[in-house]
Amino acid sequence: MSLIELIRDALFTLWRQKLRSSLTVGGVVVAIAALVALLSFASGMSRSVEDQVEKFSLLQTMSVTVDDSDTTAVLDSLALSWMATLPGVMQVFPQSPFSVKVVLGADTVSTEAQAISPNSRGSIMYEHLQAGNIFEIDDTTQVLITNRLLERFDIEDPDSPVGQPIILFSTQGHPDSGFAAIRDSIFALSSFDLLNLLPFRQEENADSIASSVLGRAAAVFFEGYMTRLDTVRDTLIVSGVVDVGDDWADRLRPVILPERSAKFLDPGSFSQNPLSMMSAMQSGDLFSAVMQGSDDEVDRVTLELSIEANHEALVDSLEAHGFESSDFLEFYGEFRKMVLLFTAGMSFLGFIALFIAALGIVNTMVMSILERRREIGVLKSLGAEDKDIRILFLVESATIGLVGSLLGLLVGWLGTEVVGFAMREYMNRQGISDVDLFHLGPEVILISIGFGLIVSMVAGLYPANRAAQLDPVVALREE
Amino acid sequence: MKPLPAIHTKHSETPLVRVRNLVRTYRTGSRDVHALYDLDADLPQNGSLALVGRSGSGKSTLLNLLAGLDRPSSGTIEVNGQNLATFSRKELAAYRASEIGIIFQAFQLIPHRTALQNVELGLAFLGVDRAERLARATAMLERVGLGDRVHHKPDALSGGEKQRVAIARALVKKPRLLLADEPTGNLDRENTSEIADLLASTRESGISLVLVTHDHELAEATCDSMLHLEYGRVVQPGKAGS
Ligand SMILES: Nc1ncnc2c1ncn2[C@@H]1O[C@H](COP(=O)(O)OP(=O)(O)O)[C@@H](O)[C@H]1O
Ligand SMILES: [Mg+2]
Repeated sequence: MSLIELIRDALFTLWRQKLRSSLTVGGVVVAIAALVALLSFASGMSRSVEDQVEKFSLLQTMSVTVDDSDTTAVLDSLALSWMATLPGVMQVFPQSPFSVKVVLGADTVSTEAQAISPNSRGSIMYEHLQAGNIFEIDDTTQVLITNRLLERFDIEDPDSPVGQPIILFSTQGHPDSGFAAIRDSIFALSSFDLLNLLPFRQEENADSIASSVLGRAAAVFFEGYMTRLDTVRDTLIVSGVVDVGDDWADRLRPVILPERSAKFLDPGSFSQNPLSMMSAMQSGDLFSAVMQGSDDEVDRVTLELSIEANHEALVDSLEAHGFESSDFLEFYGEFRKMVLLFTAGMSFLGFIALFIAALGIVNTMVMSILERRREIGVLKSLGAEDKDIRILFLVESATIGLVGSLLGLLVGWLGTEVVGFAMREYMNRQGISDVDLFHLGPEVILISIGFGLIVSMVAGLYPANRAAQLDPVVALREE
Repeated sequence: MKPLPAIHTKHSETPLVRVRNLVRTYRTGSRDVHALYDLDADLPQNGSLALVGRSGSGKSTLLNLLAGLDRPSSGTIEVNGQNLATFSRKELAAYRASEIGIIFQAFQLIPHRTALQNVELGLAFLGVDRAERLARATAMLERVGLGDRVHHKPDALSGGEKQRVAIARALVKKPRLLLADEPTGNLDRENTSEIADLLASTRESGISLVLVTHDHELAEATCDSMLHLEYGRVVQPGKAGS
């Protein structure tokens, strides 16, 4: 019999035992759907982080802070100039890039901004000035833009925006917003709730009042963190347009600001840039207020490195001068390991589900074979070899696996679509730039269908072998 | 599939079946039961043999050995000069597929398959393609008088019809040897005579027959010779009816 006939027969057999088959196939569907969801979540996560890495060219980036134990080191303009001379360092930025909304004329565009420090002036990128001039470094009223931003605004003449006002918005979660929220809630409580409650206050509900006050304060505090993003706004004048060409297209953000304007727009505590988040976490100042040192001092600089830069040598010379560096390459390696572990862990859960489904298949196949002992005897009396019987039942269990995997893939995909849609809606409403949580790539499809098939065939091996070895004389004598 | 050694034509001296010193012992608990003991039997080319004897005398055991469904404990079963005892499992399967047709008292039709699908199975292990299988199965069902029952499932057929489907399934491959184990045991007089006619016409088409039956009339009507078994031994070989 051909494979197609065997598969058709197997489908027919499954159809005859609808309840039993649907339970067994259901087990596979649940397992494969879980596997699909887990794998596409892991794949979506690593993709969105890789996108971020690419977006911020983080691999060629190093974040430098002062080593707390070194009291002499300061990140002043002298230190920044020194860093600019280190081999492999192409630019020294006193701040990480950050997201801004730009209003030019009647249009608004979301993009990124970047501060420059005095030593950056005169670097090769500014040789390609298309129009206007570079602002003075202590000027807080002017801004440079790149030809990329003009493309976004559909402006063809680079001279036209020069001298025009440009409005920048940046949205920052800020510790103050959380504290303000708590303060508000405590005011509300003392002036209203507590006064009203006092006359009725009883010993037994004092605790519950206290806990409800605290619970509310905590809830409001977190809400402050999560949703009360401060919007900062600044109006500046376009001083010039830089042509970034191909070399600098990914390195130089579309909006280039003097250091002080940048600090105003991005205090740095809750930047969306994962690198500054990460280095802030490492140095422990994620929640600390913006450092108010001398005007010349910054609390963190970002080094743009060339592709050939020797990261280790750089780290060593920075350390020798009392600076701490966090290298995204290192962090990224760790992160990839984490994603791999996470994927493995997730897949393990999926495989446990698949293992349980496999037990269901074994059970179904053993039952099916017990019921069809006479049929096996007849087939053997008609000349079936052991191999033919084995294939017959292997195809049957593989068919359970195939049907279950295809349905599981569908269910898993629908599930991730629904959850992904809901999450995107939620993130949009929270003002967080949305991320695709799930990514159902061809590798996820291949892995889940492949495993569904392999596992179901392995589950069918033992029953199929038993069937193949059945003694036809015994089987045919049974009533 | 390994090709079977060529089987000699019926003009050859070699008998179709030659059984010598055949022993089949079953071990039940600590006791050995000799289902067949030191049995000799012959079937000429294009011959027919009736196996008679009380229940438990070893008739089915002999038939299963001839069918290549079972293996002897000792002795030889030569079919066209080939000793089945030396066949591998694979060779036995190929032998069953091409040379042997079997019918049983309990019909042994597959309940969820139609008459046509059951008969078609008779060709399933011979590498015949589906279209030819269907054509030959349909023709065979017509020959046993079931041209109008092709798409019926066994449940929708009478006992006699079921056995005719089973005969069609056994004959569709044109076997050299038809083995029938009490084929009329579950049938009434009228159906029995229909089956008897079918078996007789099978004989005419050159297919040898070994028939197990309690029905002496059937044995005489369809077989040239008869073998009487008792406790696994031959009691009285002789001409059918004598
Ligand atoms: N699988 C078996 N295990 C043990 N004893 C068996 C087995 N098959 C048959 N026998 C015994 O062998 C003897 C012959 O059986 P069988 O050939 O079926 O007889 P018949 O077909 O003539 O009624 C009986 O005594 C039967 O009990
Ligand atoms: Mg019997």
